Amino acid sequence: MAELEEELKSQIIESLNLEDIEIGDIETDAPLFGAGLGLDSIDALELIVMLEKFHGIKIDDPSQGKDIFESIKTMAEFIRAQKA
Amino acid sequence: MNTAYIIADNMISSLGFNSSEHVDKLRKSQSGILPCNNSSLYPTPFQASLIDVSRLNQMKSDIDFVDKFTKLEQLHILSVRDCLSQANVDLSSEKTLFVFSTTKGNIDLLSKNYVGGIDTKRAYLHEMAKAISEYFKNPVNPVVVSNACISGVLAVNMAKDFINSGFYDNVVVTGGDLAAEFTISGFQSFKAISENPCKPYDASRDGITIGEACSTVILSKNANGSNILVAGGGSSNDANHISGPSRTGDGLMMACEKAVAEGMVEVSNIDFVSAHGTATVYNDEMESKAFNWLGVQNIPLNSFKGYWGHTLGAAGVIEIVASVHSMRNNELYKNAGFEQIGIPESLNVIRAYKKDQVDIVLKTASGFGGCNAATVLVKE
Amino acid sequence: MSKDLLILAHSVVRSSSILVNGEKDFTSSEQDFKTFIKEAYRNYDLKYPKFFKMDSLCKLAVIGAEIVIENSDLAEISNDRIGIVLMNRASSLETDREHQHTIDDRENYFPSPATFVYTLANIMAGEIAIRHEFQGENMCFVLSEFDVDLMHQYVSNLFESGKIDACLCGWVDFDDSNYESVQYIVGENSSKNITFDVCTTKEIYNVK
Repeated sequence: MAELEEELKSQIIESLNLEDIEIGDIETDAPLFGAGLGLDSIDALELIVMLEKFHGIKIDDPSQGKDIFESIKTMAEFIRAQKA
Repeated sequence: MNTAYIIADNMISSLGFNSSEHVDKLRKSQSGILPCNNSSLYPTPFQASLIDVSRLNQMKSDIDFVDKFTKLEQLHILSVRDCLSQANVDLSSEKTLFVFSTTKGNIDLLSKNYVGGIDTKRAYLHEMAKAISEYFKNPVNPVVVSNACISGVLAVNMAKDFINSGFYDNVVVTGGDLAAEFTISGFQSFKAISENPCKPYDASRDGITIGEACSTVILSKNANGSNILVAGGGSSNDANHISGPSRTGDGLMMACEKAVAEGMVEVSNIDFVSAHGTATVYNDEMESKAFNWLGVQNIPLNSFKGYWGHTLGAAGVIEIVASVHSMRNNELYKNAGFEQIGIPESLNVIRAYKKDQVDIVLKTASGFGGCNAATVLVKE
Repeated sequence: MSKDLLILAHSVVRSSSILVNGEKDFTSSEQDFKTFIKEAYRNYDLKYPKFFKMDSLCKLAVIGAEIVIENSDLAEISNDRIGIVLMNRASSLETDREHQHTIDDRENYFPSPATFVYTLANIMAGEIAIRHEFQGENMCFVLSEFDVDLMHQYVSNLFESGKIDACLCGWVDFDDSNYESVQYIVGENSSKNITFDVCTTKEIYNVK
């Protein structure tokens, strides 16, 4: 079950150009925004592209992103729910 | 010593090919934004303000060697030529400078679907500028200002400075950008484009409308019968975020303060604020804070974006030209698309066309990269 | 003009080496820009993770600016009185090509906001402004070559009109793996006696 979570971590590092951060540095339940990884509004939009490109899920309303991208855990839950 | 007069102008957009066609439609509050279903520009339908292609094809037929020029270059040539019919300016003089204002220039040349046959090196902005200034036999190296959405206002400010310093007698400022697939796809990825025609300052605004335009002003040290001067200018950076506007409006406020001080006008004497008003939630919020801070909240204000969308590098120029006509005709144009105020601090958004004395105008712009710029226009 | 304008510090970044005030400050054997600029980032110890999100043009601009700012005494100058005036030849074409690539194929159509935001030449000024909190005048020119006369005219005008007390000026160009950054700070007070004029700027630019 944790495979998707690990995959998301590596996709985030790649898509958001997170230098000096490795998969092991990202905790599954830790907040992605705010203090955590220092992500900003452009990163949030980039995560929307990432979901579409790698997982085939389209988000039209960017305000939905706030809940979905809270943590790796919430992202994975969202993807599983969409695919179920 | 300030003698930078605006002696000729042109606007090309969805509303027409010269300034008087635009003024007619501004008086009738008639927008040029329409649904667009051109999949070569974007896979799904969207709203846009586009220049009439069949009319362009007629208009361009008497340009010499027209096939040697891209669509945007043809527009620049038509726009400058219309200005020359209004004022006698020697473009072949070393005392005449061309300043181009654009964000993306001939960006359509980068697409693998481009079929026009123009050398792709003209995607370099200075190559585009050179092709046009050479068409007009201007001997000076043209200058391109490419500073996001404040390019046009910066270019006019620079033209004023270079006339007042005596470097040039005449400066032709011409701004243009296309509604290209490149730009539309980018703003779509930013979720910045509204599904409906943009509604600056309105409670239900939810994004921009892309527009294409080309617009020219000629500034001269000689009045040539004009009584409108570019009196002051200023710019600034929010130093906050590359794509999000300042949360306080400090950058825009500072640019306005500099323009007002240099223009030697009192804020309370401003008759009209020609604002940027892109109709994104955050930009218009930011402007409302800056304008209240500056103290222009009760002065009639509009954004022209509801007529021709956000025309990027052309925006500053075409909106200055529209403001000049507001001054010449002593009239205020409605903020198209606006119904109900929806900004944190109130502004006096113009709800209907009306006649009014307009002698002093503050024009502003803000853009990606955190930049802001302002110009003060004064009637003598 | 009330006072002579002076160059407080200058930097040149080209061919995998960095000069500060005419002296070699950092070189790398790496010919590849991306590797070289990362080494430069580590060498100057920027501690600025945002750097890695930038496109090549901005990385070049930020490194070139960092070292001139560090070598200029701007402590007495208010941030809203420090301008940024940059020029280049290729605008943001390097990143423009990258964005275009993401939309060329309708079957694989994923325009990226993180790429698109860098398809404007002046974003490099924005990145420098954010890092150093410079809020003064902004200008970005695109020209066929570094026009030292235009730079001198434009920046002198900003000082004369009383809008700035210092200005970061530069030619920062990136195109198809060719790159070049020449940046300098112009101000009114400096212990170094380098006059801001066309001739001196040419000398700084032409140094090999």
